[in-house]
Amino acid sequence: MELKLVTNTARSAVVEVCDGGKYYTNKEFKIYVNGAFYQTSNQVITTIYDLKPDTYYEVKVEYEGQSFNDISFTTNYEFVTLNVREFGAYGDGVHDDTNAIQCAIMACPKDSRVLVPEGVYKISSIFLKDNLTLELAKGAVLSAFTDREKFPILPGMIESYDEEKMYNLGSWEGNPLDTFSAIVCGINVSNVVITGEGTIEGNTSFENWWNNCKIRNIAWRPRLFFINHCSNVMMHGITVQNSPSWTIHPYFSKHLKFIDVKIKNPANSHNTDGLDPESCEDVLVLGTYISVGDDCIAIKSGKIYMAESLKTPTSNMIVRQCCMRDGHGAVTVGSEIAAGVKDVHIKDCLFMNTDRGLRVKTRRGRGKLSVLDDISFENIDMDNVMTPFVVNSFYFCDPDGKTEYVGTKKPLPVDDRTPSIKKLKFKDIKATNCHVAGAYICGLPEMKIEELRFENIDFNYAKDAKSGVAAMMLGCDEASKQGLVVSNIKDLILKNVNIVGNEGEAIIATNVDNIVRD
Amino acid sequence: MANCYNQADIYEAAYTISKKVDFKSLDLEKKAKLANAYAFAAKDLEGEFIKILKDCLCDIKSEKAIVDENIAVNEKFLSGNAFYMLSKLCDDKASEEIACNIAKSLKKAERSKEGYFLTTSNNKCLCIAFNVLSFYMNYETKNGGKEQYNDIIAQVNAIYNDLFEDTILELKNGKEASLKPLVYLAAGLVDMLEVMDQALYEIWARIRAIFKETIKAILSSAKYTLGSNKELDLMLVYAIFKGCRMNLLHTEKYECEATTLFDQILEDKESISDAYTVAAFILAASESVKNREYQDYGREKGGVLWS
Repeated sequence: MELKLVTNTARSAVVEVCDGGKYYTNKEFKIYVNGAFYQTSNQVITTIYDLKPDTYYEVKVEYEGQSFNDISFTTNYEFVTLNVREFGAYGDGVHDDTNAIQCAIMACPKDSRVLVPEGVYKISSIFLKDNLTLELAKGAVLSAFTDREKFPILPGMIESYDEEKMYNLGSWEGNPLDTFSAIVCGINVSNVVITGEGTIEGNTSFENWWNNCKIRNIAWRPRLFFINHCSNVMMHGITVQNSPSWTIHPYFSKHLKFIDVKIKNPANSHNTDGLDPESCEDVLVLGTYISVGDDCIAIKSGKIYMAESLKTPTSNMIVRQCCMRDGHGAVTVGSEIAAGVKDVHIKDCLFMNTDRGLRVKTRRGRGKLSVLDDISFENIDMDNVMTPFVVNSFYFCDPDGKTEYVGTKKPLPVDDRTPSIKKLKFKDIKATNCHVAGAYICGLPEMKIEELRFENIDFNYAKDAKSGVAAMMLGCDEASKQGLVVSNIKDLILKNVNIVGNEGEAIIATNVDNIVRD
Repeated sequence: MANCYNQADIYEAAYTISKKVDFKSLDLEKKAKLANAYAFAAKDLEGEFIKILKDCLCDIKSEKAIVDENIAVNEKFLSGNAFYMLSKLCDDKASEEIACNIAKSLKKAERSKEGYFLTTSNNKCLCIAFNVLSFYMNYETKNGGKEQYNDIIAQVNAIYNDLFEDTILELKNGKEASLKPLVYLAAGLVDMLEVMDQALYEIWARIRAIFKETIKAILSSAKYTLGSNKELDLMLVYAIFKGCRMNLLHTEKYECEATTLFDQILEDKESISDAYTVAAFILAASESVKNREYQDYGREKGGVLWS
């Protein structure tokens, strides 16, 4: 067992208890701060709140009756606290507190915090600024209105006066389209921390934003949290729930941390992905719990227009010690990935009750910049996941998704529209109670997946396994208890892969150039 | 800055001018152009234009070319847009069915070796964007499943590559006849942009780019040609007004070009009598009453840019 300091602010610290557990520790433990008992926890990533600024602390953990190595740190300096109540916010769940909170944010100097104390604060859209710490205290709820007329619009594209360039603000499903501003929104800001034990509540239901949600009404639905061209942003501790659409959407942003965040949307809500970094660099998702109506994490890089305009893949991303449940996919790559995704590593995570574990969604037409490379899953437990690994190169999205061009299994000429997948690695995975298939992997016949590696993988199946469709593509029929179904791969490496309880052949490989098995 | 044409005055002018043509005596091409224009007037100017549109389409729908899906003349496609509009305005399923039936003929339409539709007389022309492609896009968006968007953009690119540069050059060299295909190209492209789904944004952006290039080229190449043919001036006015409303063009840079032309024509509107010019006037008039300022239009009309 090892205790590590992950990060600290002026008012809190995050520690990691490393005992081999995934999201949850193997045993409960007690935390002591400067010798005094703080709390009992069973989470690998745990936050200690209510600390004082610029103060030295020693933290100790008692695990199975034994004390382990102490850690010590000094919290950050803090200049002033701007309590939104002092700026006129009511926090009574009735008055519109948007302006009062926005005023506090805009007035916040460097090294200071805007504090939202306990209470329900009705807001439409608030905007972040540089060098800001926004703290939502325990019991504080930023509770969003759901009336369209209260929300500003972020135009998709604004043309420069000289007609040479475009300024992109709104984004919808990979394209620069008019979108309502998010409930919490950042445009071109740096050095922002959103922290605390409070909640951002989207209040979405089938009576408002989720009603007729496939149709644009004035503009597309807002995100719960949207940052565009931002850097050094950390979201920490808070709960975000009932989002109108994708919950957290970082867009062309870098150096981002999401730590100990709780993301909750109903399982039947529409397109309420948990966290969708799009064309982002250096992203850490740590100790985060995600239960949503679509993909828990969906890694993206836009559709063709934005990809060709800015050529920005999502890269250098780590997801660690997270728990994902009830979504369509635990970690999805796609489908808007026209600028590519590379160097993404998911490890030490728990996936429960999702339709898929890893889900890659791509298709012909995503373009030659759409290169997926160096993506790994390591040390992951999955339980009751319908199909743990799905790579779908024939995803039938978009208006032309069901055309012959997208769906044909015959090789087509490689051209500027052809996407590619290079190296995918899965290691130390336990997938219990699978239903549909262990893995369903389809590359393109004209652009095979370069290397697919399975190492130390255990699949078993639920006794009452449900049938289902592994991948949303033409020709993928409903099935149950399939083993590994793989096609269009150059090198398939299988080391210590154990499939127990499947029906039919354990491995069905089609158009695979080279299979290496131990 | 948005223009400030008075809706009642514009309606009166458009209505008076519409009375100058005897619709029943016209050939199908003229009927289709007028019906298409009346459709926009019915939506934007309202009043008697809904009845006029109904009467026109009642007349057109019995034409052999409309009924027979094996006849793929250009004229029927433009009328398809009018049937769609009537369907929308009056919640009339039968009109939508007629539009869908018209769309079946798209498969039979003659194409150039470059792959784009030819005119009824089997000629190449930029005007195909207005006469055929605008309906093709309308149909694909509403009933075609959008699967042929790729065919549409391939045709737009092919037309552009094959005809655009030469036509602009001719216009620059003073060939007045080259203005007509260009203004109809601009009007067709902006009509396509208005009805298409932006999910395939790269297609939308490409059409937008060609539209802008067309407007710029016309304005820079036709200084001595504009003002001499009301039909063409009005089609350009229509394209610019609509382009400004949809934020495809900078209103502050382009709208004045359109208002100058439109004001001149309004002063001499009594001279308008032929069916093509009447249709063009009604199109321009319909767009002239719309507020091109983004937020106002977006909030009040239920859509940021689109009707």
